[in-house]
Amino acid sequence: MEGIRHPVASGQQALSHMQLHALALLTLCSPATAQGDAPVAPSPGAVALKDGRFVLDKQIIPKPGGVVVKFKSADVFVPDRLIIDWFSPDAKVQYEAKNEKEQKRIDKGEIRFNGRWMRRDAATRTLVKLQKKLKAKIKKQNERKEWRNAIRIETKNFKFAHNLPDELFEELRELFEIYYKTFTKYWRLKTKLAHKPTVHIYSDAGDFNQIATNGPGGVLGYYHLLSNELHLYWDRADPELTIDVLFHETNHMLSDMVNGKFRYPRWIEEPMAEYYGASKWNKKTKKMEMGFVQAGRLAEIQDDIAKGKTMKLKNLIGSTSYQCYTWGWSFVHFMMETPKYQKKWKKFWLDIAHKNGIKRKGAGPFRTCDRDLLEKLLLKYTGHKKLDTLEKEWHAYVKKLEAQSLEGIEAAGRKLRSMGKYTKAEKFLAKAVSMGAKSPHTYAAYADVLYRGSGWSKALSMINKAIEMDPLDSEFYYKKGKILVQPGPVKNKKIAKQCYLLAAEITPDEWKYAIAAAEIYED
Amino acid sequence: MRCTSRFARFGVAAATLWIAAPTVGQKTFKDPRYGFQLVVPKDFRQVPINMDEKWVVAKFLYKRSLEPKNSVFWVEKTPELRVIIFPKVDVKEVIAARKKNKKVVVREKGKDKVINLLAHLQNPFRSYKEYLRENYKKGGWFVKDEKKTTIGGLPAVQKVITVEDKMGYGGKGTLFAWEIDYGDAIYVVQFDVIADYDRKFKPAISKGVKAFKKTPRTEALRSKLTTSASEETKRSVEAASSKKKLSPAERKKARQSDLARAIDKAKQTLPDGWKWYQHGPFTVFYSSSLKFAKRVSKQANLMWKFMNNNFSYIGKDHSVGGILRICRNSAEASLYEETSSRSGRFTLTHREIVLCDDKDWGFNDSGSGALNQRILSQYLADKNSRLWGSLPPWLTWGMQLYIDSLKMKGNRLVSKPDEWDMDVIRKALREGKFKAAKELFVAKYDEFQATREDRVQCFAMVRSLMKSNKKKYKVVIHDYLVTLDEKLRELYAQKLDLTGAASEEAAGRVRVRIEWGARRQKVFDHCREAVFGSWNDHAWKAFDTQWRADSKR
Repeated sequence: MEGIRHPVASGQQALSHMQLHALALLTLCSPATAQGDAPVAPSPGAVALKDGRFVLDKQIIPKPGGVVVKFKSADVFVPDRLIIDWFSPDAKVQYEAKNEKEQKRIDKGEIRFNGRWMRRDAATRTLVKLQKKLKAKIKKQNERKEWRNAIRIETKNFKFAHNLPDELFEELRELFEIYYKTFTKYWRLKTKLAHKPTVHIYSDAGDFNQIATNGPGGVLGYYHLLSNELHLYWDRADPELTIDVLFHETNHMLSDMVNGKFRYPRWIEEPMAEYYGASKWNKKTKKMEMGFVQAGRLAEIQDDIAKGKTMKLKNLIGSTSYQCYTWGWSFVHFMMETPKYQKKWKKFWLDIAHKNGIKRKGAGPFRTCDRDLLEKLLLKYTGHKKLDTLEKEWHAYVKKLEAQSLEGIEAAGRKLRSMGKYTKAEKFLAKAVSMGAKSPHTYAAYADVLYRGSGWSKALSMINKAIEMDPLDSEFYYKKGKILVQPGPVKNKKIAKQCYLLAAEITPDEWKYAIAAAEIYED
Repeated sequence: MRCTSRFARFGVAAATLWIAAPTVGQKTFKDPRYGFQLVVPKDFRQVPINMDEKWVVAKFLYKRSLEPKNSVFWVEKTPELRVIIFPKVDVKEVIAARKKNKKVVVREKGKDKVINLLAHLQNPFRSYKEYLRENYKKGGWFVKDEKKTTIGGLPAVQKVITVEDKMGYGGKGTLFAWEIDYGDAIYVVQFDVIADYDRKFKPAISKGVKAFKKTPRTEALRSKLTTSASEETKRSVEAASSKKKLSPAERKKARQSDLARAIDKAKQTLPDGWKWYQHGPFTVFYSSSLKFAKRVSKQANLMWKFMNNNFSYIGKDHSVGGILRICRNSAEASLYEETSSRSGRFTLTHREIVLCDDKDWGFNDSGSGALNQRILSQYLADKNSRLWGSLPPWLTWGMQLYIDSLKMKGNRLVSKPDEWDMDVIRKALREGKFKAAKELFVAKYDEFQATREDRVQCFAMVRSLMKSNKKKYKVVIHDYLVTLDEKLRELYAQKLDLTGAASEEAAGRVRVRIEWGARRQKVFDHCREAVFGSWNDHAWKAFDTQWRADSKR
């Protein structure tokens, strides 16, 4: 067996992301176990995660399938699937002989390293070089977090500025190019912008709010029509949401690129963006698929229906309200996914922006169409004489819609929870969990809903599952702590305190963790 | 719990000094309280620090505002220099203090007072970056350049921060910042300017900051911890805990004590170029011309008299006046009013009205109305805050615009609607768009859309009622407020029963709001019946004729 005490990353995924140290058969020896070395204090290492997070200045110990990060309050095992790179200055080359022959070579001062036998000092030198490379790489990635060191590149259709890990950005860049191709091919339009738009992707919400907005205000991303700049961030807590926002906001950008000075009114612009927002990105086939259900939006619509607040088509046309994102999305989905209307809607969408003879009026530096004209055109293109008949078909279509995919059900559950609809959220989240939810945040959301309903034992098992999936999310430990201070069989203040302290160590900027720990001390 | 810093500045003598200019026009600013000095470039003047501010200890404003070059949007900004202090504190300290339940004994007004240290360490800013993230909302920003340096022999980090309003008009600004490690705190000197002018100012600002020196600090950062609660609040809490109720005279005394504390603080921290005088119940601090200050304080006193003459019946409590702070321009007023987050608010500035000599728009445009409104709010809040917060829509809108319209004419106040409102009145009268008075008197909060016509109509009706010489109309507002007060007292004496109040879906606060709204509407219905119950169709018609006629005058 190679990698003797603590074999390094295993599995295809781990190997592909850990090329540098996967080559080396290194292991970390604690001071007591290092062969022939005098005991020394453990040195701090670092871990870079795929989603852009870092663990710096902590002792790192390789273990089968991942690494252990030594925090003061606890040891945390981080699986390979979350890691891009890690390094530990205490790593040593080691090899355990499998037979007598190999033992003889070891006795002669040789060691098996990187798949071949070499002198121990040569192997050590190679390892030092590799460690240096890894350290430099992690340092570089960490420095990139400062926006002044952001990477700026230009591709065929866009300019990009980002501070993401290269691997992550590369995936998104590919997505942008494919989206552009898919969109322009579907609508048979070419870009009319005089220059390429710039896409800014920030590594987290904090950077996005600080650099691109006037402060946190619920904005997830935006496209600026005057500067032709798109701004969005990578939400590691919800990558699906990031992709959704990306598809949505990029739709505004693409629409701007191909439609020149024409601006769709909000009740068409936003629902179209939402329709595209639900698209799926297939990493393997490099294709995007459209027409999926916006599960979160659907949950809101169903809630409206339950309250008897069904939206009228005449109210949707010309609307600028939030319902453009919910009911508006469902209308566009109905148009785009109903074979009877698909071509008609496509023609309507293209003609109002491009066809000669359609009256357009000024809207600042742009042009748009009147509400009444659009109502007339919609009736004409769909072949209806009255809105009522079209509305009837639309409402019947909406009633049949349901969240299809697991991701959709997860998203709907999380959305309902964030809206404070805990009873409904619980149903969606329970279903998602029973289907094997993929996001740790779904388990955490479920734990939160259960916690509110005093279902602490189940909440504890759910938050433990979330921690198992992402052991470096401080918020999960905080939530676990909150559960553990509740009365009954789950109560365990000692572990709760440890959870709070660990959360405070992982995210030192967040005061509430330390305060929560302090409150237990005070007790 | 309110957030407080660990270094309070209340009750500490200002004692900031300007000393001889190192070069022409420049001045050395010395602040012995916080133990530093720096050179302020010429054409910058000191602006007082908001009395509730906890982090910024000095602010300086350039002599004029600047506009970005080649911008299609009209924007202006005055370059500004400030010093901010962040005491060093870390989580371990918080935990350790909490673990030991550490208490700090401070001496206040000659008495020892025990304060839990945690109350004051709960939420300080731990870095300049954290401060910027919360306080800098003028556009997105990032650190463009950063280098280690030494300032006055102290280790420091010099930063150039690019600010860009990416979501808005795209304006660019620059912040030059020096984070100086003072030992137990980080002192930040920050200069904020439109990017087009950063090169112009950089040499003078850099030179001034390089002259930063650590001097003996007369006030240790952690030596004096104070609570931020006002005297009135503290006494009310004390009284409540001993199941007593403060009398109007006791409340007046507490308010006077709070006001005296604020005036004392304002006097102590008054920078160069500021003066003060007393006019009636108002202490006037001004950097504007004396003539302008006198005009403002005269109107304030007339408004005070108006309130006493017209609304003294609404409560037995006493209002105690306040502070008028009159700045020389809007930039100075904005800079004074701006406080950092986590400072806690409205403790010392609770009774302060900030105004400025707006040379672009004139005092009558908005300053006069704002002054009247603040005096009205403060007066009514003191006399009967519950009543003022519970008016029906017609009275809320009508009274607000009526008070706004009161302008000084000689030694009295007269209602003079602004031209915008008059345009709406004329147009609505011409086109017959005004509603019957009764329709607005019965309007409910949920249904009242408050269109401009509606608001102006409420104003015209209230103005007519306030000005009328007919007894029937003259008593309407008086009778309405007295009845409303009486019913509100009854309502507050009851416990809110939520059973069956709202749908199952509504929870917590929503249920309370729905139920509260229903109860309040009943009170309004009762008041309407009590005041207008005897009005028949003829009387309503007569009133409609009256207020329409009055609104033309």
